[in-house]
Amino acid sequence: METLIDFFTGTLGLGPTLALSLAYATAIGSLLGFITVYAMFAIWMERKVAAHIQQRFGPMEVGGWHGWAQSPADALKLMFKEDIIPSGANKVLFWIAPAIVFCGVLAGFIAIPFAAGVQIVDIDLGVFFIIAIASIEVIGVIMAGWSSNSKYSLFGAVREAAQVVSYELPSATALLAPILVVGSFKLGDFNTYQAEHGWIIFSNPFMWIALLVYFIASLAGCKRAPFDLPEAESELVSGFHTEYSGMRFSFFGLEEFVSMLLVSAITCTLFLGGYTLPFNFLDVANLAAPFHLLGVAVLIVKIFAVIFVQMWLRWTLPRMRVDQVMTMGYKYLLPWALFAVAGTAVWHVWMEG
Amino acid sequence: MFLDYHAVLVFLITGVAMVSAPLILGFLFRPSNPYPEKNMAYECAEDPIGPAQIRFDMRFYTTALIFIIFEVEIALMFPWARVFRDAPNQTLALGAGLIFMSIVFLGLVVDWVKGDLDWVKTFHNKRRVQD
Repeated sequence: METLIDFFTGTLGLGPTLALSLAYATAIGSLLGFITVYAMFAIWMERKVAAHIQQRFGPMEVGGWHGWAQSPADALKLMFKEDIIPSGANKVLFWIAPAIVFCGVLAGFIAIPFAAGVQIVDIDLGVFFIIAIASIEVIGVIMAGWSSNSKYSLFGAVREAAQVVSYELPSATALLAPILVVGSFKLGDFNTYQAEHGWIIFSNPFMWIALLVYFIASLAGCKRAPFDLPEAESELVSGFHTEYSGMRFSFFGLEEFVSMLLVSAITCTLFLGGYTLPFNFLDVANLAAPFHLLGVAVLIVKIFAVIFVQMWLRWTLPRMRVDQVMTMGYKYLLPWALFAVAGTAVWHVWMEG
Repeated sequence: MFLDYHAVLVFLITGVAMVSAPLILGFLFRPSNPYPEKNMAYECAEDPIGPAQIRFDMRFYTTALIFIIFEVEIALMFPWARVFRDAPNQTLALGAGLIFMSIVFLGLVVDWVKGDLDWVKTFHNKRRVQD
């Protein structure tokens, strides 16, 4: 962002206000373009992964090659669908709920560094900010469930709120471990640290526990199977978005995939080296000017590896029961997360201090 | 510093705009043909009885309370983790952190023993608390 502003004022000689607005337009345009293309690809990928795990083919017709145009066609179809508002619904809450759910996740991307210098702003509270802004989603979900005037929606919403809120504790605690090692909240600092000292996951044995806890908790936070209780279709029809249709419904689906991207980006940046290569054998961050953008490709490959594991789990494991979900969150993940943080601190003092 | 949170505001507004733009665009194309049966809340083809904004289970309230307590405690641990590396006396910082963490864990144990973490509250658990 600052680089962009410098480019617009310095090289093109524009005024500061114009440069700022142009920089915002570029940042917003590229981020939204990336998210839209990613979401369409991820939906197609999910259907393909699911199909091949179940020995089917998945979409094969639309667009020719392996049904690549299935997601754009679906998006277009959803736009032409009628927007039904159930009788007795609270219209204002019903209208703004998808926007609240979506904009919380979108704002989380501000702090993600995609490559050296390719970051919208390196917020000084980075990790903390992402945890905080991503949990706005719960408010939108409760609004959607409460305002729909449908019992399935209400039960789905309160279940989801209880689950997401419970799994925020282990995920926030597990993120303390990399912060302890690096000593910063800025996500940019995590990348520079890992370029120098190797990936954080290899810094001590407790970090593996922290990564595992964060990965499981983030699955639950994204409502991915085996934690997709809020949308358990055999008991709650479709959970909190039962009454939504057309474009509004598609934003809840889009939000699920975008939040998968966000948590995978956090996992990669905090534990798996961000945009640096293993053992830093090619110093991606310090390559000559256009080649440092290779970092984007490295990060995206890592993100898709994590997303593939999430999809793989979804089609392998059966859904958990609601009491098992609560037991898992409070009685297993939270103590293990605290153990990982304490172990990292002790390791840091006795092994390195 | 100014730019940081300026950008957050701009992106929140962008999020709302991105949701509303396809809806407004779709308004030009999509049909609008509501009738009472279509607008009825979905309950698997049964007529819904009464409003849906009913009271729900107390367990969600307990979960929310437990969440708030632990979340505040974990939020208090973030500054500790941030300055731990630069602390002049690391052993003291480690001791302070471990004491705080054990207090958090003790709170978890208390909830656990009292049965507030159990989703299905059995008669057995209730008896144990009263004894």
